[in-house]
Amino acid sequence: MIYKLEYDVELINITKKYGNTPVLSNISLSVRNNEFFSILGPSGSGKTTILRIIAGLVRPDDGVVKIKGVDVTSLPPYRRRVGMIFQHLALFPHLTVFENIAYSLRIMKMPENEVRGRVREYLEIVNLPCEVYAGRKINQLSGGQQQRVAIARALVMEPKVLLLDEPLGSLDFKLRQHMMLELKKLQRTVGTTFIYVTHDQEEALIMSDRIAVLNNGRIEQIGSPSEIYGKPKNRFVASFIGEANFITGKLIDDEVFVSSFGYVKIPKVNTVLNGRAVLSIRPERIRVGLSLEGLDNIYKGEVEEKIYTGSYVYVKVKVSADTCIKCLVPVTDVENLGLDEGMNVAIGWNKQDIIGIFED
Amino acid sequence: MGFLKIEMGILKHTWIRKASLYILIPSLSFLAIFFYTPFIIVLLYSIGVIGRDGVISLNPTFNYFIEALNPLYLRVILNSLYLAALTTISCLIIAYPAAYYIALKTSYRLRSLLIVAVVLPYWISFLLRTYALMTILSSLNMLFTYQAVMIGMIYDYLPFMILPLYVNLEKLDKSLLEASYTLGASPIKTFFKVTLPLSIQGIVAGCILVFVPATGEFIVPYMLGGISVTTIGTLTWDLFLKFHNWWRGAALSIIYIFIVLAILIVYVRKIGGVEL
Amino acid sequence: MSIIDKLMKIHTLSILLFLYFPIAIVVLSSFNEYREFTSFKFTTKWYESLIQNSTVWKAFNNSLSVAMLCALISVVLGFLSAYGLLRASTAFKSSIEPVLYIPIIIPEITEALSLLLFYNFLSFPLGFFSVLIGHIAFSISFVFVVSKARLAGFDRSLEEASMTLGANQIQTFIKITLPLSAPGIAASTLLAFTLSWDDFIKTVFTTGPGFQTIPLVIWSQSARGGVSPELNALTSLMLIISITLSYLYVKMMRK
Repeated sequence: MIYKLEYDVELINITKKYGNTPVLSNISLSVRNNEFFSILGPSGSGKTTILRIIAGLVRPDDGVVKIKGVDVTSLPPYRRRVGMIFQHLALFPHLTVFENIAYSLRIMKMPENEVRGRVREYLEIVNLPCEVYAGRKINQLSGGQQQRVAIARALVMEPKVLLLDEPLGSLDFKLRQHMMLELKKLQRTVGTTFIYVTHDQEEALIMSDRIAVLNNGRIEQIGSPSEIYGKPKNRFVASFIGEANFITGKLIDDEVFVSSFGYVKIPKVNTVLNGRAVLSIRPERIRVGLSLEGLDNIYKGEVEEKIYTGSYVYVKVKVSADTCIKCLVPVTDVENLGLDEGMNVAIGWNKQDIIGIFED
Repeated sequence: MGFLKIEMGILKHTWIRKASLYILIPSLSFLAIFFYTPFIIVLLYSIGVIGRDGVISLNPTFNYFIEALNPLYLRVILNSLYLAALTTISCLIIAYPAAYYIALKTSYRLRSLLIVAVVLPYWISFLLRTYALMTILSSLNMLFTYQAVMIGMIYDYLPFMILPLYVNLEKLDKSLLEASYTLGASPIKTFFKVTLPLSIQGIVAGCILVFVPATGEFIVPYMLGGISVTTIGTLTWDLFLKFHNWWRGAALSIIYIFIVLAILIVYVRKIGGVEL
Repeated sequence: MSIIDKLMKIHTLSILLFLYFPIAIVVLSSFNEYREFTSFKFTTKWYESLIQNSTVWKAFNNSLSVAMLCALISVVLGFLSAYGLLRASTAFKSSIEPVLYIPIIIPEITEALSLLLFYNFLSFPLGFFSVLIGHIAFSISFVFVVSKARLAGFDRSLEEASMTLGANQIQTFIKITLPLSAPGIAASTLLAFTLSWDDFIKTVFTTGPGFQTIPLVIWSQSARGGVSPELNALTSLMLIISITLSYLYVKMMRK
């Protein structure tokens, strides 16, 4: 019988409570082979708990965990062959770099010369030359180097899946940027499925093939980065990822939305939203100019505030007494147009720039 | 075949999980047999359920308690409490300025040295320290007087008072004192309004650490006071090791335990929690 | 305020003097040819006579054997208890823990006499084992409390990492937990040894005819004859051993 293994990890209706507080409610997700899958959510949303359930460090109250098609729900962590990178790395302080990495191989009773070969191989994969680093103690390494040892240690046993618990949190900005690309490249090279947990949307968007957005123990949406960003299913996802404007108003019919500053032509809405709704549009999708034409929706307003962030500027435009719309304008345009506070400007967007109409 | 392996894995895993509770069994059973059971035995002796030659009688009696509460013994108990109280207060008065000085007025290096020097005697047993004191008092012909016992008690218990006071004062946030100065309070006022109230915990801890053991002390009264000073401790010693009067001894011990428990309960109620 | 500071300084130094003076006197006298303090001539004859004293040697062997066995047994039992309770639920922990640390709070004399009555009731022979049992009973508690404190700072994620790398609980305990707890275990062993070595109250109540430890020798001789140069020598030796053991203990705990 040929069993086609589509999914490396499956979670089916996982529930977990601590005392009376529900931490995870009916979590179901499937991670594909060789995928970089991220679980994204604010602190306390339960994402680390999901990871620990996959690893076997926590038992779910309900539900099934499958790894490569096998039900592992009652299996202890040391029988699952799941690699894990802990938040604070958990490198063994009393062992050298070599011994840390060789740990799992020795448990497996691998012959010593094979162990040496494998450790060397993986030290190279993570760019830590064997001769220099093998004999060092953990506290002699920098933060970035310790990261890499942790990764090598988990990968050397060729796990079925690698779990990463917010590994980049303690690194400084430049190092984080660098490591994000390294991790992505590593995943492609080694070909192992990565499940990555973070609260930082930038990390998730840059590295993942697919993202699961988690809030309060429930999955809000699963999709590719562009889906999550461009077609958020609800208000939470729209506001958690990237910047967004949320404009309250009323649906007149399935193609028109009215707000305090006028009518908005919207893409056809399927939902049965009666009356009040919230329109969402991202700042970078809004055109700003002295006068505009050729767009579905154009409005006049006054520049209330300019927030300079380096290569672009957030321009807040007041379009009605109670509505201020945040627009993202490249710094060159701001200079060319001479945009300044108090100026009268026009802003506009097309129907397809709107990312969603949500419940109020 | 793989299925069977997984099943065995689960069984072994559950067994190992329970094992972490099973390893408690040896120590718990040891204590149950050799610590807790003996207390029950004491109780049984004190109410006469266990009689001579280990004969068990089912007629409990309070006679031994009545014997143990005769005027002579009562006086001894009160004297012991009085001695312990004197010791505690003296230690407090002597230790506080020293703890204060070391905690707040010395540089870091000097502080670690000083506190080690002060606490080191704490690690030396009462027996050795009391003997050392004995050599001096003997040559001064002060042995076997109440003063000798007093000096001995203070000598032995002083480190017990200094340490908790020091620990408490050392944790004091010095910026609180500085704030007090900037608000116009002189150092003396600051001491009474800020430092002293904040060091109450340490004071209470020190007092408990001295008073409770001091009530049952017998090494110091015996070695330095001889026959002239009798405490609950020396009385217990006599009853058990000299006269082999297990029953009255047991009753006296129960009375003593009640006193200790009463003090501890008052402490826990008023201050809360015992920090080990 | 410098005056008050100066007074406090003098006060503190006087206390230190007060605490160490008797100890210094004992040590010095043990090297003094004469019994009085009026004159001093260096000699080691008191130590020499100590070494030839068979009672002292027997007591030394007894002290050593009891202390070593006590240390071994209480460290194993105490440390495992602390480790076993690490993962326990809070409810379970708060009911079991007091059982393990109450022996520290109860006055020693009460423990001592209760054991004596226990032995008396069972007609248990008084000697080596009766003393050893008493020592172990309170050593376990001390070791438990110290181990618990050390293990509290233990990084659990190291054990979890070990398990994700394929090691089961027993392998993890041996390869990760034990090596990292080694300084704490060494300190506990020293503590248990010292408690047993120095113990007097428990020992004097639970000992039988013919079985003496060094503290008992010091007690019986000082109670009978009072101060003597030989006793000074013995006490000085014990002092040095005590101080060395505590110094080692503090060093271990610092790690």
